[in-house]
Amino acid sequence: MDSSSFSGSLAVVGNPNTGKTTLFNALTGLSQKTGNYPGVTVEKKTGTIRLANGQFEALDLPGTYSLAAASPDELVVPSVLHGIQEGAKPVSAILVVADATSLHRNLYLVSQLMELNLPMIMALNMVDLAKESQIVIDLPELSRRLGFPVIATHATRSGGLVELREAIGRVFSQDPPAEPGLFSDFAETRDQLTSDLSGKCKTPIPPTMIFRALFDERGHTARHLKEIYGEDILQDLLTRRAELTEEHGKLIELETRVRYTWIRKLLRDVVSHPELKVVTRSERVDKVLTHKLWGPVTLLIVLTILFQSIYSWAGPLMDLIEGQVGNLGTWIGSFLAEGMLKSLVVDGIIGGVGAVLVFLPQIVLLFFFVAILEDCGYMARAAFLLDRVFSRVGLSGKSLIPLLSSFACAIPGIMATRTIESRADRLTTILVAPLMSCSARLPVYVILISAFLPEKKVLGVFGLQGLVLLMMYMVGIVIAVPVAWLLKRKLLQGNLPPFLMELPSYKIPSSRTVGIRVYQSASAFVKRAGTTIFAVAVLVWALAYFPRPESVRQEHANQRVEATAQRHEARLALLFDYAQDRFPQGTDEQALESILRADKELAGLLDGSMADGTAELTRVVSSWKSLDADYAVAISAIDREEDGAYLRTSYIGRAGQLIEPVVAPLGWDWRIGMAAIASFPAREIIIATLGVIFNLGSDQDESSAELQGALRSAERSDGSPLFNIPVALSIMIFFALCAQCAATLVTIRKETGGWRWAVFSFTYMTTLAYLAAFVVYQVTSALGWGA
Amino acid sequence: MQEVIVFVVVACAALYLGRNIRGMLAGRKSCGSCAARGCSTGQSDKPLPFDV
Repeated sequence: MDSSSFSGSLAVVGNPNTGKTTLFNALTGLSQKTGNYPGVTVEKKTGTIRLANGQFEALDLPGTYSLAAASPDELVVPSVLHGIQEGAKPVSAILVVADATSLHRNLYLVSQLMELNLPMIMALNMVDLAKESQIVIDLPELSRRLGFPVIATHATRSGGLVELREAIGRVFSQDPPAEPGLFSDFAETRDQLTSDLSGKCKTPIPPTMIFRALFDERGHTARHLKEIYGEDILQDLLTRRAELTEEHGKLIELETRVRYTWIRKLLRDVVSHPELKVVTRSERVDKVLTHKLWGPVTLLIVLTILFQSIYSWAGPLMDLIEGQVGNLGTWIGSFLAEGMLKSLVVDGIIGGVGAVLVFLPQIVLLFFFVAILEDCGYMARAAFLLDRVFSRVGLSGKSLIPLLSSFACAIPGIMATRTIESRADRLTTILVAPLMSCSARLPVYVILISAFLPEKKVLGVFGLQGLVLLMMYMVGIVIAVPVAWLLKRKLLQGNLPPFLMELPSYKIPSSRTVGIRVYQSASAFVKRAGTTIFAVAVLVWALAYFPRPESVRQEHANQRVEATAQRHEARLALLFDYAQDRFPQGTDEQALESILRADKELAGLLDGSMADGTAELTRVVSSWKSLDADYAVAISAIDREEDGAYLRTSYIGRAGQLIEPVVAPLGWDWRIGMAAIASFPAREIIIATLGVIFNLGSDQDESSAELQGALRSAERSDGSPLFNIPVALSIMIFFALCAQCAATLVTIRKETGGWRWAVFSFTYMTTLAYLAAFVVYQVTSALGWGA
Repeated sequence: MQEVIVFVVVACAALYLGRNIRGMLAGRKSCGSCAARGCSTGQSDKPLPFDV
C-alpha cells in the first residue's frame, strides 16, 4: 500500500516478551509484511490497522528495555522513534505494550518514551496473569498520572482489543503527554549542545537524541550520530559528556536512579502486591521443567513424542500424495510421445519435484508442533537447560540467543551475535551457529529417514524413525559443545561475561500464531519445491539424460534384434517338433500343411478360442508361453541395461564416477555423491536428484514406482543393497554437519569482515562432516547394522 | 519441436538457478529454506522464543 494513503504511523514499542507481536498481529490481521533496515540484525514489521476514521500504518519494533543502546543493533528503536532511521518514515504516535506483572520495570522505557513528545497510548497486557499473582492495578489512576490512555488487554485471548482499537483511533489527534521532567538540570546543556551541533550539520539533530548520546556511555549512539551527521559532532559530544560525568558521576547510573525514583512515586497507591509472594502456576511448573534432572528428562520425552507422532500420523496423507503424484505422471505421460520431452516431464519434473512434495504432511506436522512449543513458552525452558551446557564450555548466555535463533536459520543467528561484546565469544558463536539443526535441515532429516530407514520398533515401543530424528535434531548441539570448547580453549580465548535470562510465563498457544507459522512453513516448502527444486530437477535431468551416445543406442538395438531372432528361432523349432509328431510329413506340401495346421491349433489354444487338447499339446503351449516370458525378461533387462549405460555415460554419470573414490569410504556410490553435491542450493534437492536419477534408469532391477521403494531396492554393482542403515546415517550426519549453505558463508564473511573465517567455517565443517560420516558408516557397518 | 521445448525449459532453469546462486553469494538472497520463518533476504523476523 502507498504510504501516502495512511492517516498516521503508529510505533508498537515495549519490553521483550510483553506480547507486542501477538497484539500487532491481532490489530493488523494477516496483512503484515517484512522490511529490513540496512545493516542491522533486527527488522521492523509493518502492517495496516483499518479503523472507522482511517487506515493507520503500524510498525512492530524489536523489544527493548531502554532507549539506551547496549549494542549497535539496539539503535533501531531509538533511531526509528527519533525519525533518523534511514528508510523509515517519521512516527506519529506510540503504542507502548507493557507487562502488567512487571509494570515497575516496563515503566523505565515508558519514562524515556514520554520524553519524545509524541502522542502515546499504553496496552497493559497480561492483566490475567497479574490477577493470578494478586497484583491489583488502579488503571484510571495510572492513566491519569501518566497523562495518556491505558487499556487492559489479554493479547492471546483478544481481550480489550475493541477498546484498544477505539483508543488508537483517537491517539493521533491526542496531545503528547507531559514530559516527566526528570533531567531538567540537563536541559540547558542539551539545548545548547543541540544548537551548537545543528550549526555543523545540514539537517537538525533531535534534542532527545543528543540527550541519549550524552547518556549512552557505551558510545553506540554517538557513533551512530557521527555516521549520520559527520565526524565534526563527535568531539563536542565527548567533551560535554566528560564535563557532565565529572560533575554528576556516571551518567548511566544517574539515569537509572532518577527514573526508578520517578517510577516508585508514580506507582505509589496505584499498584498493590500481595504481602506474601504468590507462587504462580508458571513458577510451579518451572520447578519441574527447569529442574537439573527432570528438566532434561522432560525435554527428551517431549521431543520423543513429537518426533514419533510425525511419522505415525503423516503416513496416510503421504500415501495419498504419493499415489496422486504417480497418477499424475502416468496421466501426463499418456499424452506425450516417447522421447526426451516425456522423459523431462515424467522423469525429471514429476519424478524430482514429486519426490519432495510427498513429504509435505510431515513438514506440516513438524512445524505445527514446533510452533506450539515456542508459543506456549516451553522453548525458553529448553534454552535455559541449554545455557547450563554452554556455560560449561566457556560460552556466555549471550551466545545462547544466536544459537537458539540458528535453530530457525543460521543467518539471523549469526547476525544476532552483534549483541555479544567479547570478540572471542562472538567468533566462537558465529562458528558453531551453523551446526544447529536449522529449519532447512529438519525437513531433510524427515525425508531421508522416511526414505532410507525401515519402520522398525525399538524396545517394542519407540519407532526407529522417530528416534533417529530426535538424534539428528540433537547432533548439532552435541557436536557444537566440544567444537566451542576447542575454539574457546585453543583459538579464541576470552572471559565469560555475566548473563541474565528472563523466562516468560506459560500461556495457551494462540491458534492464530500457530496457524500462521504452519501456513508459512508449508507454503515456503511448496514454493521451494516449485522454484529451486524444480529448476535443479530440470538441470539434473538434463545432465543425466544427455549426451545419449549413438553407440549405446546401436549396441542395445542390436541386442534387441538378437533377442527377437532367438525367440523366433526357438518358436519355429517348437512348431516343427510339434508338427512332426502330430501330422503326416511325406511330401514338402504335406510338411508345410502340417506346420500351418499346428500353427493354427497353437494359436487357437493361446488365444483361448480352442479347448486344451492332448497332454502333448498342453506341454507345447506351456513351452511357447515360457519362451514369450523369457523374451520379455530379456528385453526388459536390455532396456534397463541401456538406461544404465546412458546414465553412466551421461555428464552427471561421468562426473559421479570421478568423485566416487572420494565418497566410497562413506558408503556412498556415485549417485549419492552427485545428489549431495547438487543439493548445494537447497538441501532437499538430494531427494529430487535421487528421484530423477532413479527414474531415468539404472542397470539394477530397481524400477519401483515410488522413490522410497526404488531406493530400498537399489543395488551396487556387486549386487549388495545400496541403501542400508549405515549408509542412511552416514548421509544424514554429513548433512547435519556440513557447511552446505552459501548464504550462511556469505553472512559469516560480512559479519567478520573478510573471507578468512568463512573459509575456516566451510573447511572445518566439511571436514567434520566427512569424518563423522566416515566414522558413523564404518562403525555401524562393523556392528552389523548394514545386514 | 520436442528438442526446442526441452532446450527452452532447461535454459530457463539454468538461468533461474544461476541468478539465485549469484544472489546468495552477493548476500542479497537467502537459500529460501528459512523463508518458512519469514526470512526473505537473509534476515529473519521470526521472534525469538524469548528475549534477554
